[in-house]
Amino acid sequence: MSNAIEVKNLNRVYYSYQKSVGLMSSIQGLWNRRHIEKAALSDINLTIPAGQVIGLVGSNGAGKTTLIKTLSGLIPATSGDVKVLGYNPFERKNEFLRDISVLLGQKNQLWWDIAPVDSYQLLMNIYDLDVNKTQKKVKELADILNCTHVLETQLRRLSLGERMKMEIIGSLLHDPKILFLDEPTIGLDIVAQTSIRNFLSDYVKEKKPTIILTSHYMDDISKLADRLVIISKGKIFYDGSIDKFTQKSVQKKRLKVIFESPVKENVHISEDINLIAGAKALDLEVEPSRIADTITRISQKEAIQDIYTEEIDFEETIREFLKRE
Amino acid sequence: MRQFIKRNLAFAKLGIQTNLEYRFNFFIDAAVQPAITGMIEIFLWLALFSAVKSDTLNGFSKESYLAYVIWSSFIGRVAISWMYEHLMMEEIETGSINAIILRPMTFKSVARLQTGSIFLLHIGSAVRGFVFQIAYGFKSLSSGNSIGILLFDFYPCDELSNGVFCVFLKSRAFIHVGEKLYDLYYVGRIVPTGFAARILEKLVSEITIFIRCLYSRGLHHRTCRYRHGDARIYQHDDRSDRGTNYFIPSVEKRFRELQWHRCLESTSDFFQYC
Repeated sequence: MSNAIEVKNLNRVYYSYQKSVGLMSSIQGLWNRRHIEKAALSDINLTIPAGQVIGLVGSNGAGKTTLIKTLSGLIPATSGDVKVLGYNPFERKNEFLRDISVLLGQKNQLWWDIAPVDSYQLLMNIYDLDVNKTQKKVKELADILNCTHVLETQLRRLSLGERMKMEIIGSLLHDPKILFLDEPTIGLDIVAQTSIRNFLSDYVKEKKPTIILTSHYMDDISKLADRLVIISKGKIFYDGSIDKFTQKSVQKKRLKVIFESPVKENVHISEDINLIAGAKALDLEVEPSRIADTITRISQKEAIQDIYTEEIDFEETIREFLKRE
Repeated sequence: MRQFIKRNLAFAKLGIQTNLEYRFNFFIDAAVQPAITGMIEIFLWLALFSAVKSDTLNGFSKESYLAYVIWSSFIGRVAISWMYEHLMMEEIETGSINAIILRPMTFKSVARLQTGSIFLLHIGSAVRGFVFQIAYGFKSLSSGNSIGILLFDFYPCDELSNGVFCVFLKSRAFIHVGEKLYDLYYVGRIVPTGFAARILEKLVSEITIFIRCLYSRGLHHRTCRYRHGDARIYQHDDRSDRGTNYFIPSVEKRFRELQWHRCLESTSDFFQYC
């Protein structure tokens, strides 16, 4: 399997300046500015084989979008070597741009004032696509996404979910080899999220494109991604499978204890466990080796009706990880 | 070539569709505004000729002045590219430029879309001009008025057809040709001293451009970039959804030369008007 993306020692620095509050500092800024540098990406090394789906995860400002922009050719790298499908993305050669598609969840790629079908017609001309085949494809994709009824409505009049579905159709018309999806489900309700997620999952199985996906919804990542890349403060902290990450990170289990009756008064069980008066249940995250001991201690103080233990899921693991970072 | 024309026609169509979306705005821009301003100016010139009781003023006939009134708003507004800068600023500020520069085409194609849109906005002025020119042009032709013949021959047949051609095929050239015509025919040769307001407008516009260019020698400015450069040489960084522009070093030098060339042109125009 050849590599779709190869990144070596990639750095990206943003230059900006700081300004103190007030008019005087604005005037002073005419000749004297305090320039600052912020490393958005530091020494990133990444190799992505063709057909792989990468889940790019990180907190706000971690560098996810910057990485996507660098890989898609929107912004240049400050230093380092970036090859996408063998091209330097920032040269933005037409051959390269024909093979990629970028979907930025918070920005419109289609034309705001006109109906999506008109935007698709323009895209057909831009990518020199066969009209009949493309129209058929639009219909098929719209059927799957259940949005045929809004194809002829102006983009500005559509709901966020409908708009995102239209954007997705637009980004897939030319069968891109690489798809950059930057938070495609952001701001959508649970039904729209699931619909888009299922659609992308089926699309990946059928077409096998290389996908770089960023999302704050871990369900997107766990359902779609083959590989997880966690980025924090511009550096890659984890690069591997989701299962390995979960195994490596999860050293605790969730323990839920339900009492026979509400706790009558505050009870101190151990250093990190306290029962509060009125509590009907207790939710804890404990190391597997301490589960038996914890249950014994609690049962000595309060009558237990039921006990559950479960694995901590991927989303919580990531959340914990990001919180620590 | 087929693909080239197909793509550009698609862009022009999209520009027209976009304008037609806001019907009231289109109606005001394309019909009401040119009609009202045209009527006011026509009545002013008619009143002036009536007052002086002469067939000519500074050697130009009533028809010539009226022809100027009819066409100046159309040519002037289409020829000056201020609207492009507005559109460009908007694209950068909203980040919609991302969607454009990641398509397999140059930014010039998008300029065609914008030119197409603006052309449509001014089609009311164009129709008004056509009607007027046909009516008065024939009259001037029959009376042997050479200026009338020139105007009749030149504007509808050359300028407008050139405009239409360029809208679809070479918008950059159109902007350039438009600017030059504006300079040549309205400011340089046929405009008598009575058109001080137009000259002043042009002067202010040139001074502004000159100052912008001076400012942009180090920092770069959209106006100059758009007028002279292929837009693909710049890049957009919307880290905080606002634009921060910079150049690719290899083309920056060439671009600055172009900018500077524009500054010199502006300076020369400036002194010429003075």
